[in-house]
Amino acid sequence: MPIRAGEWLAHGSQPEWTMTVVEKTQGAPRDAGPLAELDDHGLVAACLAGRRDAFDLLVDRHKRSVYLLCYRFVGTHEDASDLSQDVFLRAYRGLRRFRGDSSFATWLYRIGVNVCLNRVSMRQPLQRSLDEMPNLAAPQADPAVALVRREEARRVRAAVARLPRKQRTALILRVYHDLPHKEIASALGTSVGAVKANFFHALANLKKLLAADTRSGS
Amino acid sequence: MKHLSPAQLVDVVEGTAGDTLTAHCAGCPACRTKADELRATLAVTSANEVPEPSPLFWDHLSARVARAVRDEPVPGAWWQRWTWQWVPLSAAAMVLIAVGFGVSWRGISIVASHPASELALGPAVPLDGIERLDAGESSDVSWTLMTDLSSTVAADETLGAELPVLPDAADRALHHLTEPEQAELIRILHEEMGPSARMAPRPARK
Ligand SMILES: [Zn+2]
Repeated sequence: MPIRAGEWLAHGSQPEWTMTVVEKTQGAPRDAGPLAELDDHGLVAACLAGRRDAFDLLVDRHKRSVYLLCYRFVGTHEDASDLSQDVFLRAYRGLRRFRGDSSFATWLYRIGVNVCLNRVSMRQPLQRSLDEMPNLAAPQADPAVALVRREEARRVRAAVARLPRKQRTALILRVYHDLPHKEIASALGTSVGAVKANFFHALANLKKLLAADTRSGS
Repeated sequence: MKHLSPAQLVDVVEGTAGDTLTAHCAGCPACRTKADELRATLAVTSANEVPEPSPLFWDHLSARVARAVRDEPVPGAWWQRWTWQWVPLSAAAMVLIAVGFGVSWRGISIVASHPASELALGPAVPLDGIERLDAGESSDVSWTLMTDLSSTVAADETLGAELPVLPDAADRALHHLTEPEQAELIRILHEEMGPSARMAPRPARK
């Protein structure tokens, strides 16, 4: 028969139950168990078999790269955050279509690029948001240096945002995500030669855009 | 003289070009200039860092995605879901089936391998005094019939007939019969005992 808290105190006996306060650990996997030992392909299989928590682990593994990809395309934290959620949601819905021919990361990049390009094409011009973007980077020791670097970063992001879609995508995936040309080609469904050509033209156009920006600013 | 293509220039800048292309670039001012410009722009572009969001943001993003995903149906085909979700249940079902077979087989083996006299015999117990395992079978015709028949048979008579009888045996046996088996039992009993076999109502229990 259960006893009330007041009764065991009165009887001087200990209750049969105890209460444990569990402190939430930041960033710790939620009861991942043996799932955490699976690679991405294993987690996808587990998720397809009904383990939603397997998808949580996939999100934990790839959220940073997905967010950074989205940020490179849209240039604001709010938009990148929304788009990241959208990328993962689309990935979840389309998980059955992941064949495992490429890495899960590459597959996710492909979804990310499509989601971002769709958003960007709906929201032109992007330069407005780049100017309004808050800079949350770690503060520089020298405020003057920090200011110059921030301004330089803003100019580059603005210039990247003005590149044609394919060139922008090739440049972002190659420069900021360090993806090999072959994986970029896989993510974009094109050839390695085409990716390299787009990358070359992206850099050539970026040089022109930055030079034009310097001329107009001086 | 054929200059390097854009893809070949990218290879040179990234250091993955072969000796022939690298040698050409070194000896050709036009290609070298392009490659140098490419390197310079690449350096400016690479130095561009994304502002680091708050450390709390990453947990927030995970939670957002998890909430959004919770509203979605589980992806994957039904047979893929079956393997994970139903494995414990189907394993339990297999164990039950195996146990069921084991019990039946054991029962058959015991009866088959032992003469009736070796089996433990108890006195004929009036069945209406036995507590049933479950309620609700008062309308069970086969139970009524078996109770009615067995209550008139004494233990020494069954021994003489070499029929192994355990206390509550008829009762227990009926518990393990399916409906078709019970119907078949009634049919056999009717056949054996003729139309005189009566279907008495089950005696009321105290
Ligand atoms: Zn040349």
